[in-house]
Amino acid sequence: MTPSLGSLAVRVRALSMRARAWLTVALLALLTLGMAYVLVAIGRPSPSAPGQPTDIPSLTLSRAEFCQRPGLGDVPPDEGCGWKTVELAKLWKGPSEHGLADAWFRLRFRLDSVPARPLAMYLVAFNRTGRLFVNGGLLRDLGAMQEPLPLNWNRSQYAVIPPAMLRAGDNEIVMQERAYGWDLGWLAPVRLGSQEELRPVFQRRVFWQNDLVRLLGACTGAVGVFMLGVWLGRRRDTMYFWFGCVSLLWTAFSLDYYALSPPLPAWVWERFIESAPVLRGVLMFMFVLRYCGLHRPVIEAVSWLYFLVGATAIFGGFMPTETIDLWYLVVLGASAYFFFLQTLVGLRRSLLEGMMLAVAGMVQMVLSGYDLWLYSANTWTDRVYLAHFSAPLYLFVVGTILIRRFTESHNAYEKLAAVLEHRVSAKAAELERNYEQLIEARRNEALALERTRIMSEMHDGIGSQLTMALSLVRRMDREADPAHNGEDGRVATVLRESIEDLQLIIDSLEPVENDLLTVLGTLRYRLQDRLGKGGIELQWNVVDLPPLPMLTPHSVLSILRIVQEAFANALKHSGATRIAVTTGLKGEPGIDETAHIGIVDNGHGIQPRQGAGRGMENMRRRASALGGRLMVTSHAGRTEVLLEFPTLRSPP
Amino acid sequence: MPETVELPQETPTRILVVDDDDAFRETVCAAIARDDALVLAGQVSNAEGAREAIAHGEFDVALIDLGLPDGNGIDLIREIASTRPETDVMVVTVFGDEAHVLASIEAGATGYLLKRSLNDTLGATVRELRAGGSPISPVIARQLLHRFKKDAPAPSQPAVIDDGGLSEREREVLLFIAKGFTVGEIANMLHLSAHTVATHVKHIYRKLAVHSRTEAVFEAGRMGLL
Repeated sequence: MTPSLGSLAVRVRALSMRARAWLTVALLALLTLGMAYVLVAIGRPSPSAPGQPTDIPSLTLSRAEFCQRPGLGDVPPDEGCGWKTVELAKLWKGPSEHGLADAWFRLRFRLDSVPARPLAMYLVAFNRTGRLFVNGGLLRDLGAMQEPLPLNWNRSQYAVIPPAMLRAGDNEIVMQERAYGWDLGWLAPVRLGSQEELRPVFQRRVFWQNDLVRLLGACTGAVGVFMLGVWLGRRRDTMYFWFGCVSLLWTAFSLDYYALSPPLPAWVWERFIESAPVLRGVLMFMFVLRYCGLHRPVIEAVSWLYFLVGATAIFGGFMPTETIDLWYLVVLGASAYFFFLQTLVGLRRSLLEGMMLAVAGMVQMVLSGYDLWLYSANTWTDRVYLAHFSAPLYLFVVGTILIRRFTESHNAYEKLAAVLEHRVSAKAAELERNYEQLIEARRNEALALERTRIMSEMHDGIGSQLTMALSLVRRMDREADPAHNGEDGRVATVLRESIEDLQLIIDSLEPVENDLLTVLGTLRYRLQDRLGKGGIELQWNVVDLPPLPMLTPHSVLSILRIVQEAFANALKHSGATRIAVTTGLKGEPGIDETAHIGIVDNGHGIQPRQGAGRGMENMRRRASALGGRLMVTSHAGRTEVLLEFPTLRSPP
Repeated sequence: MPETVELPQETPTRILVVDDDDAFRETVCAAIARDDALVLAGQVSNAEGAREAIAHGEFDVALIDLGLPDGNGIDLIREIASTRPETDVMVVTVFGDEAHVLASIEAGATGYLLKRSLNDTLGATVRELRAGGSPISPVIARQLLHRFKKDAPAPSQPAVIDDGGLSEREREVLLFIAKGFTVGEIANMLHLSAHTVATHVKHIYRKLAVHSRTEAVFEAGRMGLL
């Protein structure tokens, strides 16, 4: 595609649907005008080319002498044959339906002198084959003279008469015509002239009437095969089947315009050609009904019956010639209705489609009507049959629409498949997620049940017993020493610490929902009374943290123990009056994010004592079990215990 | 530091003790005797005695142990909550764990007491209880938020107060408690008095109890306590 065409295509694509439709209508209107011009141009005799030799006349012989004699012969008959003058075109028929029959035409013309160059002879139409004699000498055969006779009805002939065969004064051309007994023979007016004048006329007619038809027939055949292929893949879309049939029938029908020897015996072929227009119409109706999505069994049955009755009559040989035209005319009328129907449906689908169908249908109607007139009026000029140009136009329009629809539905299907695939994978992911959540919920449920059971055991069993033991020991202490100051004795202290440790374990099992502040808050809640009694102010300088999935009962217990130990140190040994708790996050999630907890007191610092040392060692061990570390800075007035551990969070 | 909410103490608070542990009852009685603001209304060691006392006794606060030999403490709490709405119920528990405490609150208790620290804190805890309700632990607060969120009517009505949903303020208070803040700190942050925050806490207790009572099957069953 050239750049300018490319940019034009881009611009056309950028137009709106409506604009494109109008553009198409305009183009099709131009096309119709063009065809109308061709129609006129072909029908008009070509003007004499300038500069042609003056010694060669330009003649149209429209009158001839005609005779028929029984039997076949190769020699022109003499005067006893009973020549009589006839106007061309002359239609004739053999005496018997069977075998072959001959007819003889004698054409006379005058020459002032023998021309220097050959005389051209242009036979617009004759049927079915023949032989030319000039001034008694054989010029040439126009085709095989034995069965099967060649299919020449639509084939013009061009012959060149050498000057040697001509003479000044009267000249005589005798044409022998041979046809089947059941068929008609005919001869249309014959033109004589210079080669310069007649050869282009002849060639143009061959192009339009034979070569182009052959080309278009091949195209419709290809379309038909394609459509049948589509139908084979999609048996339910019978629309494609009928359209394929119409296309292939057209290809078969077009053979009549250019094939010398059709694939059927001549008689059968002629009957087929006679019935084909109606068959084509009926197939067309089948297609149009399906294209429109209409189910009309009665119309279909009537159409087929109409065709079968007519075809039977034709093949049975009892269809009167005049009735055939009527037979066609009804189908032509019905076609108009179906084209109209199809255009309506096409318009509903898209303006473009509707307009294309309307124009194609109209063109076909007009040209078919023209052909019908041409055929029945027997106007033997060199006018060309034209319906075979409109039919391919129609077939191409519909073929384009069908192919476009096929690709569109294929594309839509692919898009749908992609959407479905996406939905399925999304659904699968969701199911997987739900399943994981279910598993998680089940695990949590099992954990909760187990926790409840252990809690129950501890509460009613060991917890109650330890508590009972503690109150017994305390009572015993009081009874042993009435001046008891309320401080726990050694046994009571061990018992209390056991209970407190159990408390810590139970707290670590509580549902904290990954909230570090809830973990720390629980410890604060437990220590509240003791802090209050010790006169220590607690500053809760925490910042909220995102949920940390690493806060399992195990790690919670480690954190609780570390922080509790830090509190215990501050409470017991430092003489602090204020403890501050801080929290925070550092680093990038998924890379190096850590959470930190700080416990700062204003006591006199950690003394290197054994108990504190061992406690510190335990804290460090627990911190490294968390994958973190413990940092202790201590001097008079400020001791800070900082626990840092990785959050193991995935990036957001 | 404990939140001290001063109340005019004209008459001492009468306390009913329900526990099968003799040593514990003795300790409680001694603690009550030491406190001028408290007076012992009665002590029983089983559910039967407790029902008798609930029906005929005169008391302001009931201290109830959940594990009684002839019955469940939860049933007693529910009975008191439905027949004597003016009476406060305090559950005595060993660990103050979420399962026990939540079940008790749902039955109608408005506070709980750790058995081992009772000696030191009974007086203060009872005063807190009469003022509003025992402080809620962070874990319990979180669970309460959870429970209400599940049945919240619609997020478009945040300030609605009915027996099912929490008010926006109450939700806020619970959230702060879940993050480890005390009633005093919350009062400061929200520019409220400590008394107001304590009242919010009491409302939360009440709402959970009412909310739970409307449910056919009690959550305690789920917790394996019945």
